[in-house]
Amino acid sequence: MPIISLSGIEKVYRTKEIETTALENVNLDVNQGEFVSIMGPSGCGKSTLLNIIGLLDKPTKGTVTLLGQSCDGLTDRQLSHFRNANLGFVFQSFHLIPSLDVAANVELPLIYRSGLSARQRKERVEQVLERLEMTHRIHHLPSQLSGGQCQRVAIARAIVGQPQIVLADEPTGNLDSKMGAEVMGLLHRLNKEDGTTIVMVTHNEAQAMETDRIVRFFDGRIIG
Amino acid sequence: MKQKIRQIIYDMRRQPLISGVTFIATVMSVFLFMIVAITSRVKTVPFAPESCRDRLMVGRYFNIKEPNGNSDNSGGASYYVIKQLYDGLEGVEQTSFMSQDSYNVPVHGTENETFQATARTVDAAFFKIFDHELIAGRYFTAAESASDLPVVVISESTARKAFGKADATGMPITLNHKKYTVIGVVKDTSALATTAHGDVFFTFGTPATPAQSDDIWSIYFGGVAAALLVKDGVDFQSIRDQVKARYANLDTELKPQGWETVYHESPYDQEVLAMNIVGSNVTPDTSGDRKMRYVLYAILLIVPAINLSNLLHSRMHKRITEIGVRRAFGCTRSRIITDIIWENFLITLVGGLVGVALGVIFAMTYSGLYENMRTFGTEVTPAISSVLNWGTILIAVAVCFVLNIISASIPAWQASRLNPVEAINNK
Ligand SMILES: Nc1ncnc2c1ncn2[C@@H]1O[C@H](COP(=O)(O)OP(=O)(O)OP(=O)(O)O)[C@@H](O)[C@H]1O
Ligand SMILES: [Mg+2]
Repeated sequence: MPIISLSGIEKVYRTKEIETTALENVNLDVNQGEFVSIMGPSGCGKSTLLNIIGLLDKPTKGTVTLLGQSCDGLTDRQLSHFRNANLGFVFQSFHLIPSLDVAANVELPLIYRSGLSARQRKERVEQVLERLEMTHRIHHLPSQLSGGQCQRVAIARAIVGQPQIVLADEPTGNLDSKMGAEVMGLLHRLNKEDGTTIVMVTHNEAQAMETDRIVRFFDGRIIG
Repeated sequence: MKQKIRQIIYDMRRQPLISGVTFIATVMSVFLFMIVAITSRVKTVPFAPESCRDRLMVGRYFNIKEPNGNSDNSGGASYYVIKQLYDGLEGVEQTSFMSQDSYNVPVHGTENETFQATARTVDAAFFKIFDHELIAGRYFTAAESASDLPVVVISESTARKAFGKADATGMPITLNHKKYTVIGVVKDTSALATTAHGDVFFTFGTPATPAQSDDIWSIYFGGVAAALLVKDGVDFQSIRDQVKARYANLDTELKPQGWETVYHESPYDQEVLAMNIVGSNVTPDTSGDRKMRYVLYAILLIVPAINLSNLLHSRMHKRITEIGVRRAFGCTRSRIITDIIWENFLITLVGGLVGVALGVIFAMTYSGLYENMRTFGTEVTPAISSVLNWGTILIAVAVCFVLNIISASIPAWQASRLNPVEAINNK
């Protein structure tokens, strides 16, 4: 059974003057432990798709099934809990919280999870940061880190809650090629070692080639 | 909690202007509210020598009119009236007869200087109702206060000014150009104790019984009041009911002379005594007074809250991406709301503490606040216990809480309704 299953997804943005169809009849299955990259020209709907898989946005039509559970009728609270338990996000521009230090940023998903003591949370954060070799920057603010380091912290935040699925929207888009390669290495490690399912949007053909499967988009449709 | 404090400190560094304005606005609004609350509460909060305020009632004034409504007499009451209305009421522990108001007397002791002091005429029961603390000598005995013996109790500062020392017991003193002997010295009190404050206490003496030949004015009117210490747990209304019945008794002797009494809900409790306008021919309107106060309090809260709400709104504007990210990682809408409200409450509380501190200092030092409560230009300093007490702290915390709820709820609600995707992509 696929861990992510999209069927008949359509997304239409309506503003007063115009209607934009961002996605049209998208069907996509992703298996447990798969590393999938999504490619396509700018504006073809890649981010929109990722947001729908991430339960941050609702499709106009179609159903999203994650871990065998249909997410159609879930309330906002249920969606929040689902995201917290099963999904991790990595963004192109990191989106670390500027007022919080590295440890607090990484801890973020855990504070919205019940049943974890402050000490358990601290342990989990330290473990993850050790794994990503960021322990020496644990009390730095995001503004005191390089881009590559920021993305490492962001990945730490995405995986600290041990989600089954990580969604990454152009995770190397703001990094130079050396740091980009480093981040890709991390994602591959995660995929191999933990069996985390990863869906990544990228414009980098070489990076995409290294993943299990490439899904190509054009104008809101899958073309291959 | 730690994170919220960090967030606040970070905000202050990154948005110093708007955070500074928020902080100052909070300080100012709590300060303003506390000044109003303190000056209003000082009038009702118990403090020495009026520690009994919760059980205190004062009977004063008298009003009669012709039944056809042509003529109306009102003013201070005579001893004759006060005694008939207020002596020996059921449920009253102590009854004191005293001068209706304080008055000024020139004082001369052994020092060269002659000075003015605030005086009251009181009986022995006065010192049982009001806790004027003795520092030397003794109070009047009942026999002394009923006699015309020239003995007085004076305050400590009066003793020092007149004799250069606090223990003035036995010293001869000239008051109003007559010779008296000091038998006791009491601690100084605040002039805000409007019923009991004084520097010189004369004995009440034996009032003359009115003669049949006297006119209405001299039989029924004068300058006497009664202070009643109501027994613990006794309802004020039951006292008023008894007094009302006694008014009816007075009517039986007044009606043949062509007059009848007008009852104005006397005796008054501290809430009425605290009102600015209490005349001898009006019924005090406590509920109207209360309503005015509540409206004032509401304005003092709502106006700054709207301001603070706008400030919070623009502070939140800089954190829209953060809110989106938090939502992505599983923060629920309600958690967004409570977190913002809590964070804001911390800021409000710190601002509020500074505001209260300033308010208390101001209330203690700026006597202009009590302008309408002064008697004969005496200097007014409130007792610290009447300004700073648990009530003050409680009110301050409540003000911060309400201010925070009113100002933070709309921005917090708006933040919680943001679409996560749009919030994350906020530029
Ligand atoms: N909130 C919105 N309102 C209206 N139209 C939108 C909105 N978000 C996206 N769109 C439109 O939907 C289409 C798909 O956008 P999307 O962001 O998914 O593209 P993308 O493939 O991620 O592009 P890029 O590679 O530049 O990130 C675009 O035409 C975009 O203009
Ligand atoms: Mg995109």
